[in-house]
Amino acid sequence: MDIIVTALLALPLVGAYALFALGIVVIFQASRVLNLAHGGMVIVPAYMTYALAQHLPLALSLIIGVGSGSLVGLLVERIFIRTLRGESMTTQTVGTVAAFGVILALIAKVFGTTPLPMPSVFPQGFVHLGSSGIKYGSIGLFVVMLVLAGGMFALFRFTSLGLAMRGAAQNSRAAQLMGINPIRTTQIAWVLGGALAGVAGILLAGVTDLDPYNLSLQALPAFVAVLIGGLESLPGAVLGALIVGGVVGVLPGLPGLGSIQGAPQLMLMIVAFVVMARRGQRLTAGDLRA
Amino acid sequence: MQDMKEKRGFPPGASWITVLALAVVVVGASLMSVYPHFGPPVAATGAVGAAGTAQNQTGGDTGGTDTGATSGGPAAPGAAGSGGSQQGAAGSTTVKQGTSSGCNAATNGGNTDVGVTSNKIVLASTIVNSGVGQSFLGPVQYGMQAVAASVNRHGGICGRRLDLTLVDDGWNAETGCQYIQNFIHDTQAFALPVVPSSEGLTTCIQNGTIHNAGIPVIGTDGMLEQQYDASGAADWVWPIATSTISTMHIMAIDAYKNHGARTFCLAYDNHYKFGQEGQKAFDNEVKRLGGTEVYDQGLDPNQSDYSAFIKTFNDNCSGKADFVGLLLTPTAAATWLKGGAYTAKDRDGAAGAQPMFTTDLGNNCGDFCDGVKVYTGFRPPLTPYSSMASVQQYINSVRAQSSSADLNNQFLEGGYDGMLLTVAALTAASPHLTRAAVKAYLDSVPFAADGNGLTPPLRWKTGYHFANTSMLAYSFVSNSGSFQGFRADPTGFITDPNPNQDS
Repeated sequence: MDIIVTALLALPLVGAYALFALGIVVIFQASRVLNLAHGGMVIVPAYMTYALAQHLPLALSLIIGVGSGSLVGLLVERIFIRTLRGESMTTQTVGTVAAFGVILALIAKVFGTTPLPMPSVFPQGFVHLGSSGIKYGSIGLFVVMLVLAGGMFALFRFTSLGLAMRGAAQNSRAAQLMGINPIRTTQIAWVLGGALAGVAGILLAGVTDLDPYNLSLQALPAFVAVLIGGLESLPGAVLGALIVGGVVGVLPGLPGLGSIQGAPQLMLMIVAFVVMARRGQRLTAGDLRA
Repeated sequence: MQDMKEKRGFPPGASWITVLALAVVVVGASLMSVYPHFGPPVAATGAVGAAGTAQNQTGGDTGGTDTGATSGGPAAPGAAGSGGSQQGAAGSTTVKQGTSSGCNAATNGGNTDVGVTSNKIVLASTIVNSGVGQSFLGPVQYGMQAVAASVNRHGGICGRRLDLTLVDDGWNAETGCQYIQNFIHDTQAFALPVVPSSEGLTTCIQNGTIHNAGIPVIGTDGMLEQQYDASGAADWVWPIATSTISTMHIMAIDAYKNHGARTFCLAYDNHYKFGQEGQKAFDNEVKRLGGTEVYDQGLDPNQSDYSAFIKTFNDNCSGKADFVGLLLTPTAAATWLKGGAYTAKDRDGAAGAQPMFTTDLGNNCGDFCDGVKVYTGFRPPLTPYSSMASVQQYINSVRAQSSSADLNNQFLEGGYDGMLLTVAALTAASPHLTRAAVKAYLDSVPFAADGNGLTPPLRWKTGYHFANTSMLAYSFVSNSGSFQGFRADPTGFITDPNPNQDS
């Protein structure tokens, strides 16, 4: 029973990591770039929402905040990706590291590094689970993740836009011959990725704190989730987030492990290595069969 | 195919190099303002500080009760320097120029020691302007700059202006100690005032850097036990703050004796040194008092979610512990308390150490912090001390440096107080200023005969640098999610009877 409660308490982490991972996968699916600026793209909408909520209704601030996430995605694509289009994907990925540094520096300069109380989108309060409790905001975060994951999956699987985005990423020239504008599909992917990062940042800050360092660093476990689930698989991203959130959230609650500093991170690293090693073996076998 | 090979080839072509160079420049430039290791030093400016007058407040804190709010004692002179006649420097940000021969730039002896010339004294310190510690240690620089600016505005000390260099080390032990070594060998600093970044200073004390260099470290507010080892590696360190060990002793004593708590739980930072040594001191004090330590929970301050830890803590402590101690950074404390951690509200409550004494935490934490006590070793700018002249002086001086700094942040007040001690020591040892003279002064003379007004009377002596051993308690007051302020605890100053135990 105890382990079930502990697992339930880890749901917010799973939700946050899954939202981050979905954004990373959406961008990768359409542009073949591993977006290492995702942590930076998370904090801009969160701070934008915080600043606007001081003067505007929260719902309106939220919409503009998520919109600012899309805008940041568009800007990163325009400034750091499109200008490097002629170079390799590795070069473009390096460009996203630069974008992360710039965004983090700007936010730290403008808003400072003192944690701020982010207004919560969901009502304050807890659902009590034994001696502990899970916030309404955390439950909301998980539910929003499920809805958006379903939406993204449907977009890529069942719509012509999703098909065009995947096609343009896999073979840009062929897609152009089919009348698809690959620049436009890439832009759309970055807009979607930015919006997902925005939703994740706003909701996560609402149940924790608004802090440029901590919030942007929460995207790191999502990269592990993406590596576990596969860079091109939306369900894989959610599954990866489930594993990562489970390890980070549940392990400290297990007897004997809670007091060991770094135990979740070590376990996460082991899991990631095992999964990636096994996937490598399968790919090799597949190659041999082909 | 040929094109593809050229693009993917190694070594990369010219465009590759351009891209990488651009990326490095952009990342480097952005990190300059975010991370400490690359940041340029922040020099104290000669901004106009509030003019002040010598303050002589009676501390009068004996027997665990604060009586120093309004009672004025007899005026006590500041320490006289050898051959000088400065007075009142200890209790004020103003240094009065002496009239005796030798106490001016032309005749002060010139280069009397490392970092001293006829017209300046080189001082340097690491500060925390980034990372986890920034939220409570960041504003300390304003307190230091306020005092330095005021001294410089009044002509310096015997004609020597204070040349204060502050460098952000991000509260990183290795980086901080490296900067301190740079201050000693490259900057050629005469002394290190306050040094709010305790991690680096502690490393430099432990590895013998401070002792071997014989450089005075004056008015530290870092609270770690190594800073108080006056018979060993810290014989050149004079702390102004009540140590973390004493804080945790006092927290346990207050809960046990004043509130009747018998069972205790503790949530502590297990990443930084203050948490580890504070946990040991708290547990030992509880045992000495005859209480029972029910459960201790170590926490990494860099996590954004403590749900699993909170569940374990609540399972062990809820309904079982009369009192909950909190030895956490403000960010971790907010996450912990907002996550629903047990605070013994229906029993004897919860209390936090000095890092949690900030307005920012009150605003961030709201109702979750309501009623939680926080301790400080300084008289804060709050009722009943806000009208004291020395506290008013602190308020005015810091406000001249920063209009937005949180004056209730007790590390800021400690930084200001530590800088006052630095000025007092430099003044006393002038005009023929040497490190040996500063050490002799600090090891023998109390910080103003009746206290400087911000703390009870302080005295350091050879082999014993636990000068400040008392703390005041305040509580967060919140209503409908909105932080209302701090409420003073009626107990006044509580003194640790065993400050050097558990060290």
